[in-house]
Amino acid sequence: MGIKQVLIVDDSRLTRMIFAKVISNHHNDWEIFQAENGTKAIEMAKERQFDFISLDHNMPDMTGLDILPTLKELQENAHIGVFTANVQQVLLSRYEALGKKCYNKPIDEQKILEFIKAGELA
Amino acid sequence: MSEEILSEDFCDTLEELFNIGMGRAAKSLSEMVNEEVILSVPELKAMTYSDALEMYTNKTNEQVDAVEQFFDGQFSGNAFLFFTHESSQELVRRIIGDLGAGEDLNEIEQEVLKEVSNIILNACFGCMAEVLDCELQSGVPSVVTGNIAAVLGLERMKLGRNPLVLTLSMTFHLHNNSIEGQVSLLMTSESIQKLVKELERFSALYSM
Repeated sequence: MGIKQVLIVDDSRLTRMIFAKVISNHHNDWEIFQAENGTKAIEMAKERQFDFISLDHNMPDMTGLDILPTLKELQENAHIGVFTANVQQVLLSRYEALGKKCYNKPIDEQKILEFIKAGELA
Repeated sequence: MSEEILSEDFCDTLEELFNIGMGRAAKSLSEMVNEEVILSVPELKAMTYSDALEMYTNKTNEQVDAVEQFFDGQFSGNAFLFFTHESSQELVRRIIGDLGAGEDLNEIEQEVLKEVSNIILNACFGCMAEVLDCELQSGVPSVVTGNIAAVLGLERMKLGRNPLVLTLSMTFHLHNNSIEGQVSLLMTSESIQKLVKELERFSALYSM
């Protein structure tokens, strides 16, 4: 598999750190980019194309649901997964309706690899 | 102020752990009130007891309803979930309906608040224990009402004269209503040091 570009969108430094570490451990040649809020994520999505985007829901400036339509438009080929602490069914259903799978936090290696594998199979 | 007690990274880690805990609690709460619970982004601060008291008093001088729960394990302390009196009344009303309560919390209302707090605080304890891979037990919750100084009175807690306080501000909204809850953990400086050790051990696993 060639070099992939990964964007981690999450206001939590902890989550970004874990995500980056797991990706690096398994794919040390992949390029990892991080955005700590929705605004920055959209800016970065305008600048380059990503293969994988992990998206948080609850962020200071906007929610994952707010930016998902824009991200989908800008990143037609990216595999986008939602990593959220908010596990209410109504919210999960909204993401499902937009065709996105939610992964419950806390994130761990298994969930991250499952997300990557789903993207590779898509 | 937080940085003097806890580094920015450790505050961020704890914020995320509480965020996850509150997310789980929100799922349970949404099932209790049968509607979506919208959560704000959590903000965690670490400060001395006297600074926390001043901060809370500046925020409200009115009566607050709190549920206190002792926790113990690798680190220990007293956890509080605060609501303004209006918020707690509204929350209770959303869960059990209007029972025509007066000014004071009646027994049923206290039970509801204890159950809600039990869900929220234990979700936070559970998440900290799970992610940091440590063990935390929690005591029986009890309702404390009054002004902030009375609720956070040190007399009944064995925490020394000026313990440290981790405050987590997080608001949750129900449809058309904003119910503001605030979690505070009061811990001795020794216990905070033990927590920092756990955070250091955990961070080392993921440092690049």
